[in-house]
Amino acid sequence: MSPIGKSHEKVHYEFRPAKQVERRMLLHALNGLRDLGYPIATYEYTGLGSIYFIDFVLFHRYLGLSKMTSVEGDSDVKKRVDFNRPYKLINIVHDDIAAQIARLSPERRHILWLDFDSILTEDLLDTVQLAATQLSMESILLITVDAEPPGRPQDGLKKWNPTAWMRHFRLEAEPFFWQGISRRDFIRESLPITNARLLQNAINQGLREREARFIDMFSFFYADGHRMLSIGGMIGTEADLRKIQTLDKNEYFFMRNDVAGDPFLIRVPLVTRKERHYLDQNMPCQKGWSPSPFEMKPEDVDDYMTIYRYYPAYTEMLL
Amino acid sequence: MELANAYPKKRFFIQMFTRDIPLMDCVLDLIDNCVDGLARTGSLEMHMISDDIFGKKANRVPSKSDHPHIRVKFNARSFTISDNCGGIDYDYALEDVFNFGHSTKRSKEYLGVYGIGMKRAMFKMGDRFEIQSKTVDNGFSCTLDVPEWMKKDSDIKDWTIPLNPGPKARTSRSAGTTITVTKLKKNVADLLSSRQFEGNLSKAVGRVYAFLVEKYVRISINGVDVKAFSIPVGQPQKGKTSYEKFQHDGVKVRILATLSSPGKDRPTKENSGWYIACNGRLILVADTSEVTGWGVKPMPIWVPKFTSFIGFVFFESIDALALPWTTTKRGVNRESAVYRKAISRMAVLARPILSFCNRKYGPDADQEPIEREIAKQMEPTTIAKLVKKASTAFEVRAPKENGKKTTVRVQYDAKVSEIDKIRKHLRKSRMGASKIGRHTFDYFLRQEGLK
Repeated sequence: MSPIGKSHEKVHYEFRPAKQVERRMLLHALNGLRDLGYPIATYEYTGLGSIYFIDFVLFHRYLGLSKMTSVEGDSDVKKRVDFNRPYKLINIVHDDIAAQIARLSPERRHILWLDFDSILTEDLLDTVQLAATQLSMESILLITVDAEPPGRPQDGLKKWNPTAWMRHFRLEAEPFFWQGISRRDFIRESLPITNARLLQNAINQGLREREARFIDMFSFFYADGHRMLSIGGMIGTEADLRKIQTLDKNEYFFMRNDVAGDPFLIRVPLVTRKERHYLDQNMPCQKGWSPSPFEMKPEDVDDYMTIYRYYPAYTEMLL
Repeated sequence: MELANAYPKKRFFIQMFTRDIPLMDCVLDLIDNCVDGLARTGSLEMHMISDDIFGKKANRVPSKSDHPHIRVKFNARSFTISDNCGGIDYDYALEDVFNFGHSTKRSKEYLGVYGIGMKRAMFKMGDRFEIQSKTVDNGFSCTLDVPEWMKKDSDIKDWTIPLNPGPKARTSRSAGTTITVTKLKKNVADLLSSRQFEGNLSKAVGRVYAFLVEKYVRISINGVDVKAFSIPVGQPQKGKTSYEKFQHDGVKVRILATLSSPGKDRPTKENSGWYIACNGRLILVADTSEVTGWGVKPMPIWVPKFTSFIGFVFFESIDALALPWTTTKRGVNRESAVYRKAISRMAVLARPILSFCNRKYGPDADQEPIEREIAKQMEPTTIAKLVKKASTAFEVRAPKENGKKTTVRVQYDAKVSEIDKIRKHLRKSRMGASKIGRHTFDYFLRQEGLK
């Protein structure tokens, strides 16, 4: 089974505010890396552009990336993907992403975003491991997965509980299990961290025969519907780690130095356009501040303050 | 302080050391020694054999009539291997050849790694052996009655083998070595008198020395020349194969992966998988086990849909001990660092080919995936022609415009009785069902003026 699936049929990418916040935070962090001396504009971006290519547009516009490859495994939408390509410079490869990873040049640095919308599978973990083996030094590896429990609740309580979920993961990911893993790691609340640890183990397995390490940088958790987890970091050396540790922790408050630790929760409060204008005029605000013209829960105000710089604006555009 | 006796015992080397190695591997060890004769005379640089395979022409390829000849002859009474590969130097024989294990001042050898193969083979086979060797500078002979030699074993000075100096070779082409083993062990005599063993040995030699035999050397078994195992390497009409090379701990590694070509040597389980060579000697042939990574993350288990996968790994070093082979040279040392590094790269290089194989079996039974057509059109080629760049990854383009297929598979069930009726009508009682399908289809086209 292709881990890519038919993601374009599941959700309209333009209406995923938390996902967009994540993209913008990544952009911010990648700019930070550029300031540290990493020549981000020369990196090659490889992603799963589907028919929307939003990450491609952002990375081209705001980071100056000009070598980009979108990989599409669904042969039924070949023409549609080609039709929606926003820039000529984007190379579209109709193949499975694991095959394309083998083609990533060792002579270039890469940003590879394995932006899956499925839950963890054996194929997906194999792909992650291959990526860690293949990506050149100073490359960035990002992985997004659905962190919901496997299966469907309508299958019944016996088939949809942590024991069943653990069984699924044992089937798909047992080589990456750790000593002492238990049913507790598969309760709904633990699944994001469990996913992250399995991905981390797959990355480390892929790096085993290399003189390189994975430098943890990102762990995002959000829900635009399904609960999604993204982890990411750099394939680098101890020197790269020390360099990245110099990034200002206040400026890059969303970055994480352990992808299997507590993730950064992206919560996007729902506000109207008018409310948003008002909130923005008061940003950044003091702790405990609340808008006087309308009601808003204190936790929503806190969340808004955290993400307002990255909050996407949606409006109806009549073409 | 008193010193405990830690002397070796002949009995151990003669009776124990020979237990775990099959007779066939012993013969291969003796052939290795012959090939190393070529290395000692400088006529074949085994650590550069993959340069030859990849078209770099590091070694001079002799014309067929100039091929050194290794003759293996055996029956129920004796075993003989003789060659004209340059011979063993007398001083080298005095100092090193009969040691159990090589000295540090070893001569140039690429296949005789551990300094045990020849002795182990002779002790395994029989109770008496004779060696005669001639180089262009000197010569020697020796005869050993093993049970007699075993009797004297109280002092390290008993660990010697008497050599007699002999005449040198008149020409370089007549320089070589002959080993004859007689008073064969019962189980060895039984095997050597079996036709099946002869056939299996010929097959094994053709595989192990697939890159040497017929090109640099002639090997015959009981008078019949061994043919090199044919590996159906394929080249896509449009596209490239997976290839890369690297150095690790003094070992040069080249990895190549591709699809096999259909043809007379059409892909079968027998020639699918990884081929692992150390200094030109194939130690694993068409391996589909976890030794070459199949079923070990991130490689899938080998299944028949991967039959057209073919991969090669060449390990080469001037220091044969640095290579990842076992003492029998018929397997890899999976713990060696260079092999572990290679395994991780093999998984990456194989991946696009395995994805391609997966796509050959698409979900739609009616539409034959374009990949099948590409696979059918793989052209037979040589490794040298396949590799043009220092590093590539497998990628193929559809041979037809836009990758659009011009054929569709037609499948339907028909009553056996009706198929039989057609056979009877056509008077072709052995005609297969698919041929009948094709025939009736063509008949319709002709009848309706559509073709």
